[in-house]
Amino acid sequence: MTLRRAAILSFSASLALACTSGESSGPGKQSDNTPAAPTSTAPMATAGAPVPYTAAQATGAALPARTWLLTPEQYARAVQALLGVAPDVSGFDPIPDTGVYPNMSASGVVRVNQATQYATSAEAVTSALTEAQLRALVPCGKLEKSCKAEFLATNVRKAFRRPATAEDSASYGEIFDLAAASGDMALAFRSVLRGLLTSPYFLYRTEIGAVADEKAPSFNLTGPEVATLLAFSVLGGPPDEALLAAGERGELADASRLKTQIASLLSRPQAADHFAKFLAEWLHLHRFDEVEKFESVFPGFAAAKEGMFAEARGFLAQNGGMQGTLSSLLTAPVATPAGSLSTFYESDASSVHGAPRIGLLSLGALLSKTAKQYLTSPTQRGLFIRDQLLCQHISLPADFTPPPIEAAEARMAPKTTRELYDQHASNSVCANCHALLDPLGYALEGFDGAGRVRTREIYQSPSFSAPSAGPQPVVTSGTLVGTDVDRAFASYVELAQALSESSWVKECVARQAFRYYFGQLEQDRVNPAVVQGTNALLGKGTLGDLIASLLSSPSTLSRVR
Amino acid sequence: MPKRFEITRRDLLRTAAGALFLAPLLRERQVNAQSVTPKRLVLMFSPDSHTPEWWPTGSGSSFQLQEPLADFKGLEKQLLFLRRLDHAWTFDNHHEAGMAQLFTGARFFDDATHQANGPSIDQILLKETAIRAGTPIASIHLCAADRGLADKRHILSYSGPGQPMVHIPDPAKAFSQIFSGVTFGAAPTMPMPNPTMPDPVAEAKRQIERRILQVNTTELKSIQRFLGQVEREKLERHVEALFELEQRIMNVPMGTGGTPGNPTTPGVCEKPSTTGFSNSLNNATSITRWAQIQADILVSAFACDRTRIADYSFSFSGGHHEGLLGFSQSWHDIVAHVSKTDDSVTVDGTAMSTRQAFIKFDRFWAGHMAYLAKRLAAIQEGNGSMLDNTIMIWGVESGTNHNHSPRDMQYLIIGGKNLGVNVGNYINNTSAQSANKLLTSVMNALGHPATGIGIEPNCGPLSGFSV
Repeated sequence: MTLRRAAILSFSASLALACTSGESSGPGKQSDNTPAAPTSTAPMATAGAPVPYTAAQATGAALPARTWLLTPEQYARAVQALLGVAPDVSGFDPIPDTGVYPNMSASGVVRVNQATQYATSAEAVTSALTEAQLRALVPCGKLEKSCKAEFLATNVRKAFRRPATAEDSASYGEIFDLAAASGDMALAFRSVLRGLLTSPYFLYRTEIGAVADEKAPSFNLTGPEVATLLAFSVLGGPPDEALLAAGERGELADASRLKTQIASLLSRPQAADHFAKFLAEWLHLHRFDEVEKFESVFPGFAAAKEGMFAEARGFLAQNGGMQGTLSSLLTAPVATPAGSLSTFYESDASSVHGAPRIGLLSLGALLSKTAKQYLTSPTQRGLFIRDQLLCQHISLPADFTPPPIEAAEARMAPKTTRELYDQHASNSVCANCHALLDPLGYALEGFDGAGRVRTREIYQSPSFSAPSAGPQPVVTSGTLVGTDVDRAFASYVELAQALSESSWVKECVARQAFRYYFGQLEQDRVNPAVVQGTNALLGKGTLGDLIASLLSSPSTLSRVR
Repeated sequence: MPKRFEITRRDLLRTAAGALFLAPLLRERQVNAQSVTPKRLVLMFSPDSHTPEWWPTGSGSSFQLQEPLADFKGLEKQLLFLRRLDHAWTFDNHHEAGMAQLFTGARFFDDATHQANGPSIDQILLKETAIRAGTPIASIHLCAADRGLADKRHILSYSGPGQPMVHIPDPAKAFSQIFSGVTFGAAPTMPMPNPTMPDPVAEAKRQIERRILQVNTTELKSIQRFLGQVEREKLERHVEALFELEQRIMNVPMGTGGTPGNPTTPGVCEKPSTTGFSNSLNNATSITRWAQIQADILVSAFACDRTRIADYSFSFSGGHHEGLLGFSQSWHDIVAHVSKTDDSVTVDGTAMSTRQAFIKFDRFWAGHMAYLAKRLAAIQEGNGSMLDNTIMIWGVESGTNHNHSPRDMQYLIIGGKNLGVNVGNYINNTSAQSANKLLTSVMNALGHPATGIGIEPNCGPLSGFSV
């Protein structure tokens, strides 16, 4: 079992829902390499029963030693910081988005395409340096052999984000000498820089500890490694001189000084930008541009998309900044949109003029992202809430192939989406899990598949023509189960209020932030960073407090091999 | 039978530690490997499965192609149809399960990504046989009508569990990566240093670049010492990449393209044109040109002996392509999945049944595959054509008629006559066979002694595949 798979299973277990029942036949029953059921570290929930929250103690093991490849954006910032010029990374392959967050350390692999891109970029950017730019990178200000040692020490430190070692000096000194032998001294300086830009110490953030700890099963990160982790995770770029120097002086190993440094970093504008990126990825809005709808069902959606995305960004900036709270994200009113978006939102015949929208669940971008092309999807919307807000991962039973929706439509000729999805309750294979999912989606049935307000529904499907039953009232009531805040709700507003009161939701948001800021899945809920982050939110802290608590935990400082 | 306590190379390779230990030896072997006749492999994919008419009429060596494969007419003796192949497992609507196991035979790597939990046949062959024969690029991965995402619905090839080989959608980018340093216009194809006209500046730069690659490789190995197994394997991919770059820089004579006059010399190493590219996903004319460029690049990559392994993919599993061929709605939702209903739809102003529309859609993609096959068939190589030395395996992610089923999967083998493939036949099995047998047979034909693949390591080869 890989580390990554183990991690996924473990986090699934913490608020796991024992909803799956029934088996279906199919070719090749899953039997050989199916992972064993994980050991739960929290009470297992069953459909219909509440799950009281129990706070976790920070007893989890330290994170594993690793390398974390820079994204193209981070690479560009690192080159800019080293050379003072920006490389062109438009042709770089992005880090593969494997479905959790786009920048997970496990998915950053350098193959020949990427290695070629790094080499080509390094050659281009170092060749383009003017002599004046090159001299500016040499402490003595001259392109002479006598400046070699100081040039190496300065630039290796800046590129590798740690002091140069004897091996570094020897290796890059050899490259310098090889190039200098051509008679072109500028080439010697350029070649060293060229080599630094393709070094793994430049391309990866390393979390491997000091050489002296090579054989130690557990160890502390070096000060420069901590500085690098903080800078890239908080600001999306390399550490500046002050932070790196603080790391080299060992100041980041001191809890009080570490907190001060983190607070200082979080106060910078880049930290807010980086946090906004986290929120967008957490809510799956970074792939909103891929959302498509049938224009025949939702006319005007394509034209409204840009406005919907801007609305979401504006709401998140207003309520999800460092001073924002989880409660405000879930329950604050969404500003009345500008003209054309407002017109689109109210373009359904049953719409209510000026109907307020409350919290992130009512954002048009999120509503349309979690819906089908011609319909809403109570299941997808329920899955989103369970997965992203409660960290309850629900999978289909193994080897089970649900019948296509077209078959159910043809058989039932449903008058409403809810009527169609209610059929899950009558199928023993589907009932348990869908009882956890569909009611949450029903709460949002007051918004159609494109995020428009509606009070009635005329079921439309391109795959069948139902006899017209006339507009049917939309029913948004349901019951939230399997949480610490189980209750009946009349609409999504009450559901959002319940979620804002849930301790499980607070822990889940801490987990999501951990995944983003540390680039890996938590192995269990006793992970020290997750526990500290959760405690910040349980203590009514801001979102900024959450990030500060995550990063000031032992997970920032120690590792195991 | 292996002796007691004897560990074979393959046994060792099955362990991650063994793979790390043997990687340098295998790399060395690749450089030294020489084979008389090149062997090549192309994995191919088109979206949304096929209509029942995709299968030919007749049987055995007497079969007739129907409308979806009309563009393959004239190539019948290069085709092998093998019917009643089932995927070994399924999940949900089979879209993602079908993609994961299409060329790997494996299950999902994890619950989050739904990527494959093992390598695909192309990457297995690269790691465990001499098929690469020292060519400068291990494998190329091209696509058209797609953005080249790493998502599970776009990937055909995996280098290992959860390790997708991402496609290059942009032909210009593909060209620059594949043909850097190549002199076009003649065989031999590799960029060779000219011993009679040394360029001291270029030579100095070459030595510097090589030294940088060596330093960077040493650094990677130094970091690996501090890491656990999974992380070390991740960096090993980087080490391999740097090794490849070093081989390119040093112009190590690679491949069997050989010298002029060698009877196995591939066709002339021609420069493919990349003009006229547009990345539209719903304009048939643009996609056709896009596909043609990518196919031409692939053919030149073979003719120039830059690589012997490729994958060539169209769209992605469940691709919609609203607007393509004059149909304003989703081809996946409104045509492919409901073709059996024979509902009426309007395509390019003409009313037709969903089945007729599906056939039109199917032929569109098949035509691009046929273009590539015909180009390979037109290149003389040894006693036959380049296609005779190449196995093209075209698969889709769902059973016949896009039925969300793992049964009656549609695979077509094109080429490989000189590799013992039983081409020119339509074998309609009476009982279901595992598709993993087909993958095993393809590996066997290309020199790998596999007994199975993925979750069926001992499924054996497929009867009827070989002559």
